[in-house]
Amino acid sequence: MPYNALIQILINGLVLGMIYIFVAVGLSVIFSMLRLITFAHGEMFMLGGFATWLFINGLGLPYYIGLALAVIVMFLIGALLQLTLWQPLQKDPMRCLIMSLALSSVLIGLSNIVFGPLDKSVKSPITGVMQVGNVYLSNERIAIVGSCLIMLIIVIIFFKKHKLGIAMRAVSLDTIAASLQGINVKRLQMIGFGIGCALAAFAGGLIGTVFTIHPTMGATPILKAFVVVVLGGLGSIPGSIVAGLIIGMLDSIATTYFGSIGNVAAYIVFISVLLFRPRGLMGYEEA
Amino acid sequence: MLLQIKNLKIAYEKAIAIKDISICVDEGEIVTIIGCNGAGKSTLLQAISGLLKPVAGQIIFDGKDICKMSPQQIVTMGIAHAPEGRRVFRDLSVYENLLLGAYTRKDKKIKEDIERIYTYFPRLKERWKQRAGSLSGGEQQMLTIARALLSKPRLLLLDEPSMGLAPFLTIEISRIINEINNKEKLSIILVEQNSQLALRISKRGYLVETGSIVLEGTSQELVANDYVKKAYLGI
Ligand SMILES: Nc1ncnc2c1ncn2[C@@H]1O[C@H](COP(=O)(O)OP(=O)(O)OP(=O)(O)O)[C@@H](O)[C@H]1O
Ligand SMILES: [Mg+2]
Repeated sequence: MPYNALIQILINGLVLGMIYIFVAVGLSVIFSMLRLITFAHGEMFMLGGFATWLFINGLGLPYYIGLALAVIVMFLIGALLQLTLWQPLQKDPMRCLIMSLALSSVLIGLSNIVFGPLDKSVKSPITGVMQVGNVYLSNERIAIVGSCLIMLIIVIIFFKKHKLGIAMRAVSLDTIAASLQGINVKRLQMIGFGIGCALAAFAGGLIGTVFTIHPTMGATPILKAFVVVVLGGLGSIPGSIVAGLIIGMLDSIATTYFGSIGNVAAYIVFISVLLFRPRGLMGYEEA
Repeated sequence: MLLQIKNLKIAYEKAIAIKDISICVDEGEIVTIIGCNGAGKSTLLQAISGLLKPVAGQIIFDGKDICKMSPQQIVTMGIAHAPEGRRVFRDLSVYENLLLGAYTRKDKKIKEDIERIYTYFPRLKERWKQRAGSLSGGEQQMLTIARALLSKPRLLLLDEPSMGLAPFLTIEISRIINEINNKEKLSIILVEQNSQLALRISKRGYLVETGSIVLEGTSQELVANDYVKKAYLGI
């Protein structure tokens, strides 16, 4: 087995894994704070990609500034969507679910009209390869993995240390006890939804340089992210990270050897794990 | 008068839980509300802390009607509620639970205050890093009270702090409630099914039955009352 090829597979697996992690952590934050499952999350990923493309290719902004702006804009859009579409339906999970499906189709349709169905790609700020021993690594992919790691650390520190992050965890545990501490539960749920969308958008924007941006690009990542969220344990961020890496690696290895049919490997592992451990890898048992 | 409730009426979707209740609480006193299951005690506390909105009546705290205020505004006004069943944030640490008790505060003295509150509850200090869900029942009750104190309330609402605790812990908790009342200069509304304990540490009391006050008076008067003796103290 050529050593170089193996490294390429691993790097691709890492990139894929990181993408799944961000979409999944976003879903996880939204689920734990609002007890809500949204099928429109793949479209937040997609809109993040288009927003990044607009800012960088359209307005000519520097790469990381364009990406940061896209993330901020998607945070605001997410919070606004929660306020206008979800909050009125919050008491009824079934309607929320249907509404998210509808929103997903509407956003795909609108993107087709506004941006067109053709593939776009974001201009990459980083090019070339790096030679380590006799292995060649793409600088671009390494930068993506590095950016993801930094963002993950920021997210973890926010939820562990920041007052707002701790309060958001409290809301996900007990909304009534949280209100009694003077926490504005509704506002934090809105912010949580925004953060969830922003994380998906971050992933969507980042991959615009290696993959392509198009209206239906959210379809596969959202499916994989659902697998990751459930595999890792609902609402567990560390669980999503571990599961995201596993699924990313699996995808990379299986599709290299078996072509696109390799995509089923992730689902096979997913079903097998759940048969033995229904609460996922790191989910808490219900108290 | 710190708190005055006038002709309060509260209804859930199907049933009226509180028919017509008027009570008052003075600065610095412990007032107890006793009554059996389903009498409406918790409902009353939830109305004071803004979780439930009354159908009729007034809740006047510090001269202002707080009926229309949100729970957040009410915490900021100086009312803290340690709810029934403890409701600590199970997956957060003891310390994080306490920090959230001080969520509405903008001052810089929160850390000092946590240290000060630890003097009432030394066991919480030892376990500050531990997951709150892994504490014993008694420790969780202490955490609920400590968390409520961290908002620097002038009125503390305690809903059945002795529920499910061993007798020696019940005595420990009531000693702490007394100490807090003396040192923190705050008023307390203590809701209890353990009437004996409640009447021992309170100054005045109200007896609630199916949503109405049937008897009120000083704690001595209530303890001496024949009906209370027979129905609530088992003497
Ligand atoms: N969420 C609710 N929805 C409908 N009815 C309720 C609800 N909560 C309480 N009730 C009813 O309101 C009445 C008063 O309940 P409440 O919880 O205030 O009683 P309590 O005095 O606190 O009892 P306990 O000592 O058992 O805690 C009861 O008849 C109860 O069944
Ligand atoms: Mg009760």
